[in-house]
Amino acid sequence: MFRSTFNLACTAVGCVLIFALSGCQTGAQYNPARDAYYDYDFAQSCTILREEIMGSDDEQVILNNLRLGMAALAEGDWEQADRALNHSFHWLSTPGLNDDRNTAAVLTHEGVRIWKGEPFEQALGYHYVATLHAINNDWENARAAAANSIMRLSDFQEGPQSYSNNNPATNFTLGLLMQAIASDHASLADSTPLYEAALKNDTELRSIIDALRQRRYNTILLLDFGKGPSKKSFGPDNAHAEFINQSNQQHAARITINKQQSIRALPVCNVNELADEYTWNRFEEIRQTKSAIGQTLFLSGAILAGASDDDSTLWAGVGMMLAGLFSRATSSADLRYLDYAPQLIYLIPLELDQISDLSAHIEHVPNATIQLPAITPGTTDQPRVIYLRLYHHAGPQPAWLTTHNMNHETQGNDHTMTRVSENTPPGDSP
Amino acid sequence: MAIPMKSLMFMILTLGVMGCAMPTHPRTPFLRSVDLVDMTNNLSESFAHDEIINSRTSDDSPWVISLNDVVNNTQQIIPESERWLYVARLRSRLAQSDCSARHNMIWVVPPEGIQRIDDENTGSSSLAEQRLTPTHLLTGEFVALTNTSHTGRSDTYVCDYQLVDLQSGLIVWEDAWEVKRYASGLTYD
Repeated sequence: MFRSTFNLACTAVGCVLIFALSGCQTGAQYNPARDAYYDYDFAQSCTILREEIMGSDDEQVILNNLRLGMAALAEGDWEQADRALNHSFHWLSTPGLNDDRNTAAVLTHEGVRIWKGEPFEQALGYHYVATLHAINNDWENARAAAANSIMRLSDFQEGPQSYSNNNPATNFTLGLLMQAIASDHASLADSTPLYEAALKNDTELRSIIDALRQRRYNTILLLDFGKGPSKKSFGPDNAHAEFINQSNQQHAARITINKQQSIRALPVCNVNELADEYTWNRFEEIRQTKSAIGQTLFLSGAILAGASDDDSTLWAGVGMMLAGLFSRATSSADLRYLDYAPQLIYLIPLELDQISDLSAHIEHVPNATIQLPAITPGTTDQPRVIYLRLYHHAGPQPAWLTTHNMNHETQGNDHTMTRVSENTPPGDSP
Repeated sequence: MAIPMKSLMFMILTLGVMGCAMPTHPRTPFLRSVDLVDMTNNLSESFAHDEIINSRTSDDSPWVISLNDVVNNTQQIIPESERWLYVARLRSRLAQSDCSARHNMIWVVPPEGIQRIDDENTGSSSLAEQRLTPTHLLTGEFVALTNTSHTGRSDTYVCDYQLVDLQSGLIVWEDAWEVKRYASGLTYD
């Protein structure tokens, strides 16, 4: 009798262990979409993410919409980007989003909370909303989104504050410049304090900031390069988490115009540095405590069950072991992060006097080049904004990225240019 | 022995339900549809009861009024279609009343809408050529004072509308509608 009870107890421990380990996985998901994104197949990444989202506003609503929006931006699919990024904008702007989920997060796992990301990830999310509206020359909304990116980082610092162009207290130079450009073109507010704050943050950007202030541009390149930091867990029961740099580069971008004029531009944002400064670990102490309690309960329960000579003591020990296992299994850190984020972001004002062939290249990085044939410039009042996504690619770059001949007007990485697979038989291409 | 098993099942069920909870309805510091309705209702009344406008009769030379979409100077994303909606509803409220007829006011399609109508128009002449020259312009600007901290955010909106005489630049009518929206809770969490 006691032997069969012991077997049953072992089975129960095993079942709960499996349940806890499988049900509480909070690590990064949607790898196929991410793999496609980092294989320059932005359309495929969008397709996978669209299927995953399909109108459901679950715990991943912000993360997946940001991913979809960023992939759609890189693809040049503005309508898709508009839907996804504006959806994420409203969620990001909602305070107290997880107020009613924190208890559940403590008792179970952090994955039940709606992912809002670290403050720097939220600021980046707002930046991509601003990018989208800048591409559409909707400067009023671009300004609003950029202002939110600065506010979010300011919120993370101490003290309540009124927000206006005159108190841009942040080191998020990219957000300052985006808001300044948008304010200029929307004719809404004096952008001088924003430019001055950006210059104060980084004096090496003087040439870019001067060109922007003096409106010496009719085209703006927003170029994302590399992979941003990834979130990893470590320590007992993976209860600790931190951002790890996937690359750590500071190279300039070089833009060549009609194979003659060459412009060198430094990045205006290093996401690695943002991640160092704007992260917090609200639940880390709770996770560590849960892990420690879990270990204690499991060991105590095992000792009690091992020393038991009757059913009730055995079950008490098994119960403690189960509780310990559960506590340990749910103490792992939430590893969701904005895995589409770049490491470096460039903002490059260009003054093109005619339709031009552009080439963008990241210095000292092989396979980080894109050709933009026959770019039609904007005007001083309504500059054309082009968003590009590049990274260091282990293999050769796709042909469409480096082609010098255009099929259609290029609006993004790959908006309307025809990509033909190597396996496509002749005559089947559109 | 049955009691621990029941407890175990209850625990699993509880955790499962907690883990699958849907997000709550978002609390937003932004303008909402009720604000659009309240704002345009109030401002249309203000417009209809304005002293200068009431001094006009149906025998006066007509005011030909065009529209501009509102200028968004808030921290909220307002799509272009909604920016037009904020003036379009005000116009439609006035058009539904006899205010326009009594004071001899004519509303014309804004230039942005002319092309769309011309595309549908199978007649020989372009609407753009026939369009009455506006004498007045109805427009608005939304401004927000945003206060943020890590514990919440408030946005005080001032939605200002103006009717401008295009020949003199005189502001013939102006009124504003205000609202404060506050949402509490950690902003970045």
